[in-house]
Amino acid sequence: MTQGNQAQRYGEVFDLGYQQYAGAREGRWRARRSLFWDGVRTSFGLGRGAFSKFLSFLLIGIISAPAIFFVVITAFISQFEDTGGGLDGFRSVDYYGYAYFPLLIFAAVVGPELLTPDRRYGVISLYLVRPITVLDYAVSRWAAFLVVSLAVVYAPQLLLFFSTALSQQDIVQWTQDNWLTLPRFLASGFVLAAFTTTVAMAVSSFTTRRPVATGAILALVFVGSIVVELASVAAGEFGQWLTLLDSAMVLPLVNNWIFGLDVGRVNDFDGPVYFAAVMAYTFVAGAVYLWRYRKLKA
Amino acid sequence: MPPLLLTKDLTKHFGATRALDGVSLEVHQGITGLLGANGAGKSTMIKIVLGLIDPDSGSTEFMGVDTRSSPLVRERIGYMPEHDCLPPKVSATEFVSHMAQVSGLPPSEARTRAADVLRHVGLDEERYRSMGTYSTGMKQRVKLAQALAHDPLMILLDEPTSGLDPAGRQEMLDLIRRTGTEFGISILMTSHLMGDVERSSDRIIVLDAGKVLREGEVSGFTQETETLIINVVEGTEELSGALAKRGVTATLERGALIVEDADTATYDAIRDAVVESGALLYRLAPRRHSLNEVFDADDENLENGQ
Repeated sequence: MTQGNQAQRYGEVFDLGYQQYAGAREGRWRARRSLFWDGVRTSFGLGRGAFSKFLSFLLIGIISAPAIFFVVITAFISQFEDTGGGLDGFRSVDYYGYAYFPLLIFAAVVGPELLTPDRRYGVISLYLVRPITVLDYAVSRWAAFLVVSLAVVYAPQLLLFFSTALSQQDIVQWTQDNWLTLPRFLASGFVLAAFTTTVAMAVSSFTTRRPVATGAILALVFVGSIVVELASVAAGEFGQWLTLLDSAMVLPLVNNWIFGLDVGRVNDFDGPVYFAAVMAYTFVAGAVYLWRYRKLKA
Repeated sequence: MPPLLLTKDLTKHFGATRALDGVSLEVHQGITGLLGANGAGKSTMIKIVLGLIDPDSGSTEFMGVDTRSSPLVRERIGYMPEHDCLPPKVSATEFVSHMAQVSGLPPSEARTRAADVLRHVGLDEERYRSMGTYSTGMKQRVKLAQALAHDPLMILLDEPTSGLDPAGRQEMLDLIRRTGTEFGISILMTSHLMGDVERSSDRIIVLDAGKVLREGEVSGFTQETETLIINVVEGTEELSGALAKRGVTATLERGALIVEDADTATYDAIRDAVVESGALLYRLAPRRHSLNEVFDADDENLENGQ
């Protein structure tokens, strides 16, 4: 190659200066979507430090562990023997009983990360001067964590359902007999995830520090549960109404009711009452959350 | 030409404190400095314009649209707050790109714009680092970059030189000047530092105790006076004596000799006095009104009911 040819191959970099933007402006819709996806990424620790990712995936691993363990065991055993009608393992109806506490810890640890840094570091004032309202912000963050929580509770259930189905000799027959499990765990999982998400967001709206929010969420549910139990004993007949505030007791009963099982006789109420109590708890938490953000803006 | 930004009778109280008292002003294209002491109501006015707080009464319009009734107006406004607003664990490039998307830009366009504006504010390879590791100057640049990311028509800068050392301040003021002149983006910048506003702005609005004290072109605020300032390295007393012999009265003020009511003959007298006294002259210049004097004069006018 001649020197002349070589010289021709070198490019020259021009600084074109500041370029005005003439592309699309997608307004509020894009802003809300961006806040939503940022919330989803934050929930998994993406774009954050290694510790954030480790914490998120550790908790997700704990929630999913029984389902993964069951699937691995099923696959392993089926190599050596005919499992006939499939293995008896973790049933869908039991799964949320196990997943409730790790999911609550997940919500308490990860949920505040979607809100508290924005206020602690003042980022929220940059969001609110863009083409969104404070409600757009609050709802987008809530929706992001709800979707993450739903994914976290549905994934092991779907794994259990399909792995159990595939381990059957007559998959079609088993599916016909058990298809109702699918909408049931979707509904029960939604109630659970909506509850943990909304409570976590509501409590987080009162502080700018994640550890404080985490402690407060866990205290509200666990200490609240003990307080409600003691108060219900002291309150006599009225006490059974107070027990409806004990989410740790009520949520498994709602799960049983959705799966068509006996809700148990903790007190005189039926399934719909427990369901209404959880919904009321969730709606009150949601109202407190939105009220806090409206107030913060003012 | 209609104003870009217009406020009408803005009033805001915080408890018993009146932060804004019927502020009406027009901000046109170019760089406008909103000058005032701490507590004058500058930040309150900007926050009301942006919809961060609601006024007790009055209205704000950007390009003829009420800023409070339509959040979409804010697609074309940028804001750089005085306080910290950067999450420490996130990189500048990711943050600015995200902010551009929240302003309505599609993701691929937002990434390109983030790279462009970060380069324009002078951040190169550092933009991939977490912002928690940045110096104050770099943080101020990121704050400016996020305000520019969506190519607004106007940016509102709240004390942009806050916390910067003299060199950093000068760089930031140069950057602001470039943004206003080369990028063609109008700027409303608040400051309590008169020098900052004087150096970077075309127009000045002076706010004091929640009221507009005065507004106009920068040159109108700092026009030359008939007072001369004489700085010498040594021989101040000798020079003062030589001036007195020629009938020129000079007073000593912070190491400089001040001569009032100077005319052409005064310059000749000073020249001769310098030669006679042997003083080492290094500066002879007409004094300009400082913005401090603007405040003082307007305070006196207010007191006198003018």
